[in-house]
Amino acid sequence: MRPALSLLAIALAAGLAATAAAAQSLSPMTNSGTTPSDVKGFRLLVGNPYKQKMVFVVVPMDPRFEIAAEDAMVNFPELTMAPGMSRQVIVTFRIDAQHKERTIGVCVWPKQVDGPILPRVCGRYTGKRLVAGG
Amino acid sequence: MWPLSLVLLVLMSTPALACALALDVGGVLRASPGGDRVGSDEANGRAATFIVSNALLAGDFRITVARPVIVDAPAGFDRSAPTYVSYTASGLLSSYGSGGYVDHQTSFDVTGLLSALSVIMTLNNRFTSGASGIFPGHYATTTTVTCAPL
Repeated sequence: MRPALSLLAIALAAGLAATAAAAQSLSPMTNSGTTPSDVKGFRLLVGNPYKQKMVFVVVPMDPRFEIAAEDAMVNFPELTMAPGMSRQVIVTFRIDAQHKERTIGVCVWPKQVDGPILPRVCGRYTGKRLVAGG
Repeated sequence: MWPLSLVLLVLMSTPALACALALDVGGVLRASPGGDRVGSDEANGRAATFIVSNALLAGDFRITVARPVIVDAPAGFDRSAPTYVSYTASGLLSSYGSGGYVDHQTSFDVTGLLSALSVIMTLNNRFTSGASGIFPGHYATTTTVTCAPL
């Protein structure tokens, strides 16, 4: 195998190993889809990459992740998860009748932080209204 | 060793991977000898380190580091005192940094397949005495670090 190819294979294998040891915190990080109504929902997978049981909060935000989004909710705003485990949540949000689409952010972070870093993982999701004749 | 094609096939068949932020070492704040500031890079202080990983198939992403917020301080301390953050980050093929202490939010983009495998970050916090001066007691800061798609 050529050296460059070997390096890539090793790097990919390392990525696989990292995946097994630490599940993702939020997946997917972007998505978009249509809705025939004024409400759009997305299924997201929240994972616990830490070595201990953790409580996470899941918050719908604006697309810049600065303030909480209005007319948006998540079915499990708090999740208690064992290490390495993942859990599915559903986020739903309303699309104003005046607009064809709406993008929201969703952020996940630990409820209690023991240390100087608040690690936050955020994604961005777009719902588009199906408009008759359009 | 698995052929590369098999490794790629396994990767493709796993659920869409995304960003994970895992704290490795929590930081410790200490007062400066002159008593005019508190920081994690003072003597006996400790920087925080954490790992951003598993972004292999999530595409390019942005790491944003906010200005620290003083979340605990002795009574009477001016919590609006100026705060600063400094960080370095190392990926497989790239390195990033704040270029010293800054008093505002900064970010860097992690792009490319190999760069996104994992990024190790080391972060220091610092704040100065503000109007009230530094009192003896317990201080704590929180810096929000966000991993998000571009």
